[in-house]
Amino acid sequence: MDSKLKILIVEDDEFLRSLTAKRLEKEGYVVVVAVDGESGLITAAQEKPNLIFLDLLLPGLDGFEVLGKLKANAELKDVPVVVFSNLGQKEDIERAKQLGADEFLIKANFTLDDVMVKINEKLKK
Amino acid sequence: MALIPSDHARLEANRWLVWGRLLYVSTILLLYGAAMLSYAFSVYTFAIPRRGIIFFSFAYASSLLMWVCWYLIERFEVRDAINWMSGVQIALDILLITLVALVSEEPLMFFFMLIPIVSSSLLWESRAPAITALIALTPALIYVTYSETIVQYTRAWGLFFDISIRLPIFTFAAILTGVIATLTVLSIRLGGVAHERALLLEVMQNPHASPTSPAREKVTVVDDASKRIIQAKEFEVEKANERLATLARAKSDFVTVATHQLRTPLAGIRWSLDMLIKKNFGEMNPEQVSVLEKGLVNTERMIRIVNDILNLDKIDNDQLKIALAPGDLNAIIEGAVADLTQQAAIKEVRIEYAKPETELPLLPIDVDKIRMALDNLIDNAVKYSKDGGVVHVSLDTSKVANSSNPTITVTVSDDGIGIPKSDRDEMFSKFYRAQNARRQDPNGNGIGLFVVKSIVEGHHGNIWYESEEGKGTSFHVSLPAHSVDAFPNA
Repeated sequence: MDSKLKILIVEDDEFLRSLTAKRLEKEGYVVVVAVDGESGLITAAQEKPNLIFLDLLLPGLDGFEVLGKLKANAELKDVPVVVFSNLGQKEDIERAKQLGADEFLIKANFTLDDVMVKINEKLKK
Repeated sequence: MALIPSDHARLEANRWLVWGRLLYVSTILLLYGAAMLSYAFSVYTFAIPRRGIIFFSFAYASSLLMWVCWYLIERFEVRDAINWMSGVQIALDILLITLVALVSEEPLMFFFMLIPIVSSSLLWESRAPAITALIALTPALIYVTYSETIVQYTRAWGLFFDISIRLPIFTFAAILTGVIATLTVLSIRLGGVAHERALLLEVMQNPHASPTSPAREKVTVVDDASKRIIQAKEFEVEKANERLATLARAKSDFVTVATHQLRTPLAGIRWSLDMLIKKNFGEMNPEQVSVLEKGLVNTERMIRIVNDILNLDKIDNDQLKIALAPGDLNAIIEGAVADLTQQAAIKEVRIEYAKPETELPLLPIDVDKIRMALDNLIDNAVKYSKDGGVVHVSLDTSKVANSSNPTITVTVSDDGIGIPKSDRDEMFSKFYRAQNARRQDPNGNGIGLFVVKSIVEGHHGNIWYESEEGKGTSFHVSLPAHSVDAFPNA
């Protein structure tokens, strides 16, 4: 059942993206990736993921804009979005939450194991 | 009668004025000496004519008298006489130079000295001391620069007798006049400034003074002058503040960008080491795992340092925002202990958490910040433990039920190097590190405890410690433990 769940990673850093993808695949998820905001939106519309990992500092459209557009899209607005960034100022967190992010994680402060625990909880709900 | 500030300022003003006058009269005395010499040489004889002796005696006597008068005014602080005496001084000066010009048959002398005398007198209320001083110097400058030409002309008029000897003497006198006249006008000007301040102070202290009081009459003038000075100062302060704000913003931006830039590669290192250790990329032998674990521990410590620096910057900018929400303190401690256990194991240090038997209520805390504070305290305890030591973490819940002032206290104890007595006052200061801590670990940054204290105080809590050098240290953090139900944002 879990193996059918699809997760989209929008992340411009190749290394972090591949590590996250590897870890998610090991957990049994299907992973699709996007390297910037524009392609993230297109991929989200095509693939209809069950959850989206979203970086904030992205080339072109930044994470906040992507988040806003995702939540404005009737088909995608219910897909939970986990903002996964190294920004961590109170204002950034509040802004992301206001735009409809389900979770705000600071990359450096978590291991991928911690993140898997959070995602599993979220998707099993 | 006790002196009030305006009296002090007034005394100061008068002292300046009188000293200016004393200096001035001294200059005049010197000049008459120079003129007398000039006169004596001009006639090629030391047998000075009768009218010359009479003139110089009169000039010296009257100037000396003036000098004494000024000295007495200064000595006995006869304020009312200052203006009156100034008038007498000017009249006398003009009379004397008229006489000297006539006696020495030297009309140049008259103009030469008239200008500094008159201009320095005008300075009494002048607002342009620099220009006035320049005017005072002008005749001397003209005389020195064009002396040849002047001498030629006056000689053509039959006024000069011998140039070779008189010229150097007159030049000397001219320079002396200029310099001392400048000093004089400046001192008088300083007196004027002090005087204005005295008036201003008087008006400020006694705003209901009668409209006819001298202070009232002067107040408009004083107000204008003071306003200009105050506006100029305010402008300077404003500019300086702008520059400081720009610098502070630049520093803050730099710290924010640098720390965020650091976090991305650090996250990559952390994740990859963690995944390698957890065999995501295949089996490894124990030695390889042990090396990777040490790498991971160091990376995590570095992330903590980066976070501390970011928080330090926020504290500096008064932006350390504590967002209180119901939080499980027990879970935070367990998380911190679990994360640091691996790091402790490398030093063969054990971390023991005595979990309270009763379940804790949710408390109004900022979970991330409290976690950061506990990470710092436990990390310190491990770092400064002896190898094979034990770090105890415990919770004192005995005061949670205290109705008036419920608190909960977390204690982190180690049996490490302890804090020397001499360092105890400074332990929570930014960038401060105890001497023995520096010896043990020269690479620490001295930020940790400062950040911890700021976080605890942001929660209206307290932090303190007990320590014995060589035996160990216990840090206690007490936090308010109001029921979350009573907490408005819960």
